Amino acid sequence: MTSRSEIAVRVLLFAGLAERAGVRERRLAELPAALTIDALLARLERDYPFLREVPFTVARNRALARRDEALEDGDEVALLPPVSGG
Amino acid sequence: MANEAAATPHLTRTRIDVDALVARVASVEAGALCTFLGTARRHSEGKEVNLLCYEAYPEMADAAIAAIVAEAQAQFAGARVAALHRLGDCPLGEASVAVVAAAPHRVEAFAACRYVIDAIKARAPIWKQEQFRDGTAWVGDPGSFRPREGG
Repeated sequence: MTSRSEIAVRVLLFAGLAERAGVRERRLAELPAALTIDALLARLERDYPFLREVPFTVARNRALARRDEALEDGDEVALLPPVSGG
Repeated sequence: MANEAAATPHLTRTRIDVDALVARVASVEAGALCTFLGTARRHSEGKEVNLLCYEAYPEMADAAIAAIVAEAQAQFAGARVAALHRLGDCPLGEASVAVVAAAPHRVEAFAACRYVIDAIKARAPIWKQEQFRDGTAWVGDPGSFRPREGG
């Protein structure tokens, strides 16, 4: 069980980001409560150094988010490359 | 995989049925009905494309298109709009996206249609992969080219 001082989040990757990472979804647990999106990205960069090189925006619970936002337990964080629909 | 989820009101994994889309907005109040289809093109920046493949963040893309349609209907007098984007493989010549706008007069129908397709392309979390003879690449993502395996 996750204690009150720790949170878990789901991270979704799309398109070229998923292809580079070789994974579309990661669950990260035992994170410090109120971890910011910036700090989460720093952790992800350890596993996926390419994240430093490629542009993307971040959505939190399906809405575009600022990187200084604090995460809550159960959040869904998506890394979105520049869109190219149509 | 997220992209194998069932179709939503604004996303489909099968060929777009334009007549069904027209039926969603047509009414005797409309004096104009403007249809836009984005279609899969063979050439991209000098390279020959064999197939396009679309991926989305389905829940967010569906909500984004719904919001864009609502904005257009609020902004253009009497407009009723339907929009559908295709996901997965889209063979050349087939529609990857369709927007249908009905309005009492053509000025609003054209404007609503234009607004919706431009906003979908700018805002909806949808990504286009081009498949070439020698590999694949994501549009707008330099460095994403991957050679075809065994090629």
